Amino acid sequence: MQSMQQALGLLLKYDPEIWQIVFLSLQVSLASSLIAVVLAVPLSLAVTQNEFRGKRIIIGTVNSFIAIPAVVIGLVCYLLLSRSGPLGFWHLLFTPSAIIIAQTLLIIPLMTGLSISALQSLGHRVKETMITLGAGRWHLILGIMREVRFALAAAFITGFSRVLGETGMTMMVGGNIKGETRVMTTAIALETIKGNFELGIALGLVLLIVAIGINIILQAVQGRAGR
Amino acid sequence: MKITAHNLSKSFDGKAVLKDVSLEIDGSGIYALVGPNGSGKTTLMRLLALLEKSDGGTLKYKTRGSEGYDAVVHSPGIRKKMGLIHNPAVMLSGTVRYNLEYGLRVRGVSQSERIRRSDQALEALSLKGFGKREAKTLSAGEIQRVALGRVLVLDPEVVFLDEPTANLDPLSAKLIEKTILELASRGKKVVLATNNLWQVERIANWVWFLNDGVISISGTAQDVLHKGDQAFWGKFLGRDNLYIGKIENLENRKLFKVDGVSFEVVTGLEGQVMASLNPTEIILSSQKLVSSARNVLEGVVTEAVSEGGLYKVTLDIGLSLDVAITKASWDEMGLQKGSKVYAVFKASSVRVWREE
Repeated sequence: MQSMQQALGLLLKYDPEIWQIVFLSLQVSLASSLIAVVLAVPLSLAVTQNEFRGKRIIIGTVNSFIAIPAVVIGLVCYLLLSRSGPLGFWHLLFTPSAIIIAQTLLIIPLMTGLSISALQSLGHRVKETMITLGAGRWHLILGIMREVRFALAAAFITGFSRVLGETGMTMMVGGNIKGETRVMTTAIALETIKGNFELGIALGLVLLIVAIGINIILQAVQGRAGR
Repeated sequence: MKITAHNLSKSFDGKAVLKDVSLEIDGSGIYALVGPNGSGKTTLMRLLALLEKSDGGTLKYKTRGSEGYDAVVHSPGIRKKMGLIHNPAVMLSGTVRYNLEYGLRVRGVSQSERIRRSDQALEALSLKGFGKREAKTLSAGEIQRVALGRVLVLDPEVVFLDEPTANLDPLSAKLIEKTILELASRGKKVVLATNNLWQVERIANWVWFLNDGVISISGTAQDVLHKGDQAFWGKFLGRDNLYIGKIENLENRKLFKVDGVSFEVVTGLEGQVMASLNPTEIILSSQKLVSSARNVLEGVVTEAVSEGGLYKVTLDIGLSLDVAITKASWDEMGLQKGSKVYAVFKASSVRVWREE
């Protein structure tokens, strides 16, 4: 009870350390979600709008990649980015960039899978209608994306909330360095272990509010997508 | 634009849907593609509208002053001169106006021009005040009208319509037919796939009858519907002894007249109608019967086929008439090909109707 009061106090009296952690979290998660969506949407368009051999295999592979545990992606990224790893010369391990890379890799399959099913749900007739009305290749792609815009937005939000709540992998590649790579989830984990509950609870409350907020937006967006 | 199709063929999963179809669309007017479901009407239209590639054959499009374009090479350019309307049509998500303006938008037409043309279309299709409505929430008839309007604003040279008025409310169907006629009068070519013979009768100039992937009959609507094999249309519509003709009033009686043959009917309808007669409701007699039946028509047996215990006897009474009698009757009457008989039926046995 006392910890709860102290936590609220921390939030209300504007503790710069807390807000620095909150902003870094949002920044990193937003960056990885944006990069992932920029890669996932064209990929899902390429898969759904073309007929080629192995199409079903690709879709199956994408969907099975969704199941890869985050900690495995963290491990792979760590090995690649560590000083002796093949990408060690980038000196990215334990930087926000490393977190962004790992998070992006984590949610590309998720976003691609969700985008593919959104695009597949769009009837063939819609595309054909655009063609008969004179849409060329680019107008067609823009038109198709416009038709499924709410489902694509939902895919983005789902990916964003997935990385915002990610802990273990972020800890592995980010290192949870105070003031540099410490984000909400890793900070909560650390402070709790240290017995420093008020900071953990304060960050937990912020994370909870953001997560619930995202969920409300997601439901609203999905409601429109389902229409 | 003149469209010439030569020996088009198309198969789906090894099943031939179109077999060496050749046709020409030249000159403004309304061309009707008629045929049973699954005969390949929609596929043929999709090939002509360049939505699908044929497996064999050639398609040429010739615009004024051009040498002629090969469909395969010039498809995007030609496609912009054509419009196709599905049934049921699909609305793009957004307002009615967004849908009407879509084709203009992708052509880079200015906003003021887009508004002017979509306003015209809203007016022409009785959709005034619908501009801001969400297109997907409209009724089937309204959606079909928006789909037509979406094509009209583009002022295409050729418009393809797949069953344009099937399952529509009468008001929408009427409006769509009126718009099709207007398009033709403005020098456009309209190609419609339809099973509605009344619609063909009302608006088409040219008819192709497509059966099992082959154009089996083609000609002007007048020739095909009125001078052609009437029994054929009856079979097509799944009715025996079906005739398209006119009702004439003679004193207090109503006469149905077709091809110089007339018989008495009971109906409140006037003008152009369809009439059909159930073969089991016709009596054959070797002598001219005096009875309460109003119609006694002399004919000659042209064919007789045993069909499940009954004999289906085809008479020539000036047109072809099928009569069903029992095998016993056939034997007792001693009928054979060429026998002279009388077909007797009541005026009330003739079903008279008009499809609209």
